[in-house]
Amino acid sequence: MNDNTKQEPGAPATGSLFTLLTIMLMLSAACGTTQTFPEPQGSNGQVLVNLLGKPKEGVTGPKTDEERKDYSTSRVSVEKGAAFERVDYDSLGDVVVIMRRNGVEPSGPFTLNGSQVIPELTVDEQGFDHQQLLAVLQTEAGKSVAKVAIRNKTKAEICVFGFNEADGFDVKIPAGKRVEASVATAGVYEVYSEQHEFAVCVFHVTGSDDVWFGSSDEGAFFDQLTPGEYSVTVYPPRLPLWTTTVTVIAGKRQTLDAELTVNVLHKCGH
Amino acid sequence: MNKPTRTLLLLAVAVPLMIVATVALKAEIAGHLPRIDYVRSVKYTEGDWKWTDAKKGSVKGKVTFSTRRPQQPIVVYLVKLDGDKVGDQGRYDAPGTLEVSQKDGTFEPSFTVLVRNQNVKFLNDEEKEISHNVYFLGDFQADLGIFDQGDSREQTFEDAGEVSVHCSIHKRMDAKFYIAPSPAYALIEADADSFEIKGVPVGRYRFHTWQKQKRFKEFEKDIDVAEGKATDVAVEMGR
Repeated sequence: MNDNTKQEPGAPATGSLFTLLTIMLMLSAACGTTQTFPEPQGSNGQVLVNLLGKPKEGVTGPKTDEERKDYSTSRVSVEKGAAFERVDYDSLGDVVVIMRRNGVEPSGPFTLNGSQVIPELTVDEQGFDHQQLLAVLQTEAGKSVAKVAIRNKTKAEICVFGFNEADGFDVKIPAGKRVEASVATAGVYEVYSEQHEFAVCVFHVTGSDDVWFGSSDEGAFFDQLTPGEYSVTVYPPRLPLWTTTVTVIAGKRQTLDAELTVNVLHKCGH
Repeated sequence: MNKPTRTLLLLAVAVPLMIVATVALKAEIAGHLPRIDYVRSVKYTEGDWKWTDAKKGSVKGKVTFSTRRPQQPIVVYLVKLDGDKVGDQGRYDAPGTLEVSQKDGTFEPSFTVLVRNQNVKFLNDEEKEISHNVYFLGDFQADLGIFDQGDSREQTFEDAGEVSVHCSIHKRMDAKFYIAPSPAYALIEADADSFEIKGVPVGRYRFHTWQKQKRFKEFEKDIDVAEGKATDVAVEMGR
């Protein structure tokens, strides 16, 4: 059959490339993640915690109202404004995962690593940019210390503090400046700002280096784990924590599914 | 059949097959369901005695701080002792139902002090068809479910402690409740430093503080309340 359509040189190659790209995009969407992790090796094991955010059962999308403009009509959500911003259960930020080897105290002292990233908390007029942060105790000049950097993006001096029963910090930060605060004890610190009534950040400080911090769509991956029994705890902001025990086996990867959801809570009320 | 048609046909067959294969593979991943231990509220007993029958005194005092205090409320409250241990807190009439609005995607009030056994009614008083959820974390953890505009849910708080309140749909809808063990409490507002708790049944108590923004070690002191007298407590908040 004659194809009377005039084709440009290179058109067949373009069409094939388009097809290939489309297939790859759809596969990526089906997989949900393109992360790859190294295979377990030697006498150590691995744990991968899939962080599965699940919305409350029965939640539907927002209702919509018809909005007429000069030349068109569209439907817009009735939930208008920052107050109605919805939780994105596909990508829950600031998730902390801590693995603790049962029956073994966290190993230390930890050598201060020049490449260690100090967690940073930014404060603007609305409050904090993180709901949770994580740091591991390091050894500095013979002492244990965990640091957090606080950046003030407001136009006035602020006072940020964080305490638990054992330790804490209290710092003033001039407008536009960055200050590092430190604590010497592992634990959970509630960080507040004097100038922001509702801002709070939970600062986890651990003596264990088997920790992970990130977004739930990444998956928490732990490598080079000594075989044995571990407690795994996932701390998602504003959601119930998830915990389990896992046995790490040499040369193997254990995969866990952590459901981050309010659906596990006891139902009550009337 | 021309080339574009062949390409489309190939896509229509191959892509769904690949998606099905990928989903099937993911379904093979084993998971664990966690053992959730989520209730850790403080439990008090009532006993047989009634507040209405008891002789009463009062507790008053002033709070001082080792450094600048946060501009947030502090709650002071009493726990009745039996010797050195926590005793029965007695039977009292809990305050009436507190109504909490959820209009404009905000809990109002966003902070309040309740008395153990007090009831709270959450109103979805939105002007538009917006659904909300209410769930609790902290010393009491539970879920009241989703309710639509015009509907409401109620919860009676039977245990004392600190409870954060959230909506699972809207990420900025948060509130904080503190549930005092009995009516023997006072709320010290951010711009105040003195307090008075009236109508306290006589007996031995442990005086406590609770800070909404934790900056100091919580203060505790055992005190005695006598009939018709005001027990003075100097509260020193430090690190």
